[in-house]
Amino acid sequence: MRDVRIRFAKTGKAKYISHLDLTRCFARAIFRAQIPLWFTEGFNPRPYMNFTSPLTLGAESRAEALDIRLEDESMTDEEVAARLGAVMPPDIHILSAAPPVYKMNQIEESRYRVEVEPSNGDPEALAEAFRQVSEQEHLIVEKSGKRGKRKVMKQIDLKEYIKDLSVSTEGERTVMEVTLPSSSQFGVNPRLFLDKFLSETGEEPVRIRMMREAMYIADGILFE
Amino acid sequence: MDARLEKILPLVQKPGRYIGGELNSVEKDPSTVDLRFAFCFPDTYEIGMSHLGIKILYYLINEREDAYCERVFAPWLDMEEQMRKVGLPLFSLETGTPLTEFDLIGFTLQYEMSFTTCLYMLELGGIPLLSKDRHDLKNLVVGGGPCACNPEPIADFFDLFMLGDGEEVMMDLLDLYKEYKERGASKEEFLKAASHIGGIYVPSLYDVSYHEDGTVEAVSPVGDAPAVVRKRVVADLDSVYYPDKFLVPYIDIVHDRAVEEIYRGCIRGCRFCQAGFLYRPIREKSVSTINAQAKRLCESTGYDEISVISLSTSDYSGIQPLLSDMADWTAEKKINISLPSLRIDTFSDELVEKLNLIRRSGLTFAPEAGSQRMRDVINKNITEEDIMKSVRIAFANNYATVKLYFMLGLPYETMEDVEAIIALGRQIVDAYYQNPDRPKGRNLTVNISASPFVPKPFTPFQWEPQDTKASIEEKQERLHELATKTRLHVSSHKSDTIFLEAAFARGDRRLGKVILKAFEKGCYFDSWDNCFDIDKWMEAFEECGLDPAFYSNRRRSYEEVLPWDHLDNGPSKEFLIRENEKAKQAAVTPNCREQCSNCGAQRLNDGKCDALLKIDRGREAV
Ligand code: SF4
Repeated sequence: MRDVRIRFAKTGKAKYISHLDLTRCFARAIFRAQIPLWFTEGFNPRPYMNFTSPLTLGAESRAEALDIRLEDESMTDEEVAARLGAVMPPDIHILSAAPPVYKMNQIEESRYRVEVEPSNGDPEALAEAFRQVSEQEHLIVEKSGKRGKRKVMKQIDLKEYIKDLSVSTEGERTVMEVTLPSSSQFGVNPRLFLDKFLSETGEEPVRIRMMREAMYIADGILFE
Repeated sequence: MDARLEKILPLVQKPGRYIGGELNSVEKDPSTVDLRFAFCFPDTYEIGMSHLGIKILYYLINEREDAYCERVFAPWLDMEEQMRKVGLPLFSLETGTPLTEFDLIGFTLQYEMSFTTCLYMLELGGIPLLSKDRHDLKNLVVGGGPCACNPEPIADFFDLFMLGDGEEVMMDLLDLYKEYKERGASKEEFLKAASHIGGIYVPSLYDVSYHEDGTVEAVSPVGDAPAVVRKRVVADLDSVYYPDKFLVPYIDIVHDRAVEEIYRGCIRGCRFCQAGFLYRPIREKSVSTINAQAKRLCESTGYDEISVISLSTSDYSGIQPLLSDMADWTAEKKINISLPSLRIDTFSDELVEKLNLIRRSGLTFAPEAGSQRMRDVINKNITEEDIMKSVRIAFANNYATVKLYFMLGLPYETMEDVEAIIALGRQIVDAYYQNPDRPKGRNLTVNISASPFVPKPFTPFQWEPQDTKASIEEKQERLHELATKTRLHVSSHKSDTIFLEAAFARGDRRLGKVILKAFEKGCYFDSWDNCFDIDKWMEAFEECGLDPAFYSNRRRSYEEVLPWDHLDNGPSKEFLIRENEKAKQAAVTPNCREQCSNCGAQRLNDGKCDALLKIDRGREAV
């Protein structure tokens, strides 16, 4: 038995695939790739798979991770990656397979790139407006959370969680890069972040794009 | 992706329905093909994607280098609202192309209550609804599937229908279309030529006249259109195209598994069952073809379940060798085999266990009628002993849930026949409690489902009236009354949709007006209870001066010209009359393996029918 960490990108149409659907999609892909997966014991054996915390629907990623457990250790990481890469749906790309370095639950934050195509065709002006929003003292938003089993809305101040924000433009787009918490305990998703900036500026963009670029453990160390 | 689509996707439930890009979806550059085909399923993604026919034809068309087949499903109400808001017309999943860009727009017609949903999709795509308002060869609207056996109620909307097995006729149609398109021919020229392809019915080339009482006087071909259109029959299932891959959706659909078809047709001849007659004659695949195809499908999809399908799986001549072969390779790969339509009493205990034939959800069984007399009327060739034997096997295997399916309002049914449903249920309960080895501390649940019967064309009951609403309700009440203080749970189908289903199934062309009117009043997704509105439908009938009872509750004479008499779907009228007369006597007809009853369907297959095979297919595999 040995664990392998698969890193993958989820882009294009696949950004609309929910976490649950993604799990099923990988289970089938691993089966197609004939990778000797270890099954949990018990009445209803399930393949062992462990994902990073779910990405918000509509966001893309170049940094997702999935741990699987191999029953047969003879298959190399390269072969796992190659076999899996050959059988994935078009918009999910296998980036690498390697032994896990850190634990999944060590992940603390993620770096996102958020692109906005403004309706008035002036990305510079929107960049300026976004910069002004970022300088406000508070950025209060409603965030859904759970208290026990119940879903509750609570208020948080985004200002406390936004790290290393940069605002720039690229062609027709205004681009923000930002680091937000994304641990298994607490996360701020890029949609919540973006929606606040849009509502503060009154912008109704033609197009948006959200991309998870990387994940980090404590002290800004890259998750591997 | 279209910016409007990107904008609305986050606002709808299940955006995964509208994006395509699934594993094994076909990507082509549309500019490199001569023909673009939009395969439309008039229901939601989850239902459409569960359907086998769409998968076969999707890959079959895409095998051609000169054609690109893309899928289109009916957007759910929330998506429709958003699409209209941003002005996004109905589009294909593969490339997001609007419907208006396609050469051919093909609908699969699986159930009558989806007719208005076809109109909904056309309208959302900006395509004129009536065939006569579409003047170009482009956007040709075609239909196929079981409801095409009598497509008269929707004849105004479609340019042509394909009758019978789709694999060959579809290819012929595309060849002809390509030729006429290249030549710049008109739609009229094309349709005239298409009417000479076997299995293609062009309704605009037939005039229908009516008697004063509303019955059909005659259906007359215009010009040289054939007087009778015969359905197409694929002769050999071993060599006909079957895909080696399936689309594997991301989102959960109704039937999310690999599917292997093992034969077409049915040897049983249950008189109420349209499918049993419509897909005749019998054509079987060989055990080796089935195994090879099923294996390939599991490999290309990664599914851990394969469903072996046909109308009555236990009647496949090689069922025992097939199942033992399949049990071997599926067990090794941890794949489950699911076997709908199976009679477990025909199997050894070992096989029942090995294949987990009784699903965890319990045993389901369809006696269809409660009394033996009634089962003989409908030619459901099972006895009470067969039923009890299956039930005992289930109990011996520790199952304490039994689900039984029945029909109400069958022709020649009396209240005693209805009451017999409950009597049968009680016998099953007794059998459970008499079994000394029954699971301790577990009570038995027997669920009885009783749905109203809908008479369909091309069955021996095509002349018979549907039971009236009042009578059905009386019978349902009686069932509930008798079931109190028993362990029987009766559920009865309450919806009014079946009365309309009956009207459309045996309807004529005049119903086109009603369907259009109802659609204009907001009727679509009629198969969804929360969308169906009987009042709007009744208004539509009334405004068109037609009565649904004329179609549903009227007995036809054998002499009457039926609206579908010019369409030959296999069973001959003489055979159907013979069978209806036997039904009146509660006389049974042996199944086709015992004796051929000369149903007539073999005529469409050069006189061949696999039910008459003398060789045992099973032995061939060993
Ligand atoms: S031709 Fe004979 S054996 Fe074949 S389906 Fe018809 S009745 Fe049955």
